[in-house]
Amino acid sequence: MVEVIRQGAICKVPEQLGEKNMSGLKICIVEDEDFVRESVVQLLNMKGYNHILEASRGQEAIAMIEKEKPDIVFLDIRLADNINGIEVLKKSRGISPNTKFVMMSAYQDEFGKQTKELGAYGFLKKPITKVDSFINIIKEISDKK
Amino acid sequence: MSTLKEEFHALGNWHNKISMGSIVTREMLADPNLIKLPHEELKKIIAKAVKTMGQFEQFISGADKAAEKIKPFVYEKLGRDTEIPQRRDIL
Repeated sequence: MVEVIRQGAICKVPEQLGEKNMSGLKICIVEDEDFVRESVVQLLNMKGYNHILEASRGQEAIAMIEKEKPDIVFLDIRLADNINGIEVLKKSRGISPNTKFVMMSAYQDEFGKQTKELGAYGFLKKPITKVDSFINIIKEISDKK
Repeated sequence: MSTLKEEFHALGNWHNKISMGSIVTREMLADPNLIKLPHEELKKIIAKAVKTMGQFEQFISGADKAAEKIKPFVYEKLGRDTEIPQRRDIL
């Protein structure tokens, strides 16, 4: 038996069912809503992306990005402290220049252009309704590496 | 008193939670390897899916409350049945 993360829970499964990390990608989810953040982590785990970091606050996200240098950051704009996603993007671009930032917000009209100019790789408009929204962008970034 | 923008944000948050929860639950239950899992692990996954379905009730109730708070903002400006602006100064 091997231990794998499946559906967000650590499960013991027969070795032949153990999933391998499909990529070496390190992905960070920055989102203040616990349910949404945990759902994204679970979804990515199910798709074989097991190296996932999480943060709910801007300051925490910046420290994590500086320390871990993730390949991709999915970054919500409204966060749990007074540092929003745009500030995180501004501060993190310099400390982890190879990280790709994908913004997440319902307000693409308001923030899309600004975040693109600040160097964001992409923008996922909330509500996110398709699993492919995450997977396609991860694959696209992965293929370019 | 909250603003219209805050209430729309709250409504969007509930909407996003329902959307993400449904995506994850569907993916979880559609996994073709699910049936091959040991019984105890399968039980854990089903319990997690049931818990998420239960949370939907809370999210839908939250969305409903946000929509109720938005109504007065709208109906102050537009007639509930006529959809005609109520005040000439906003024409």
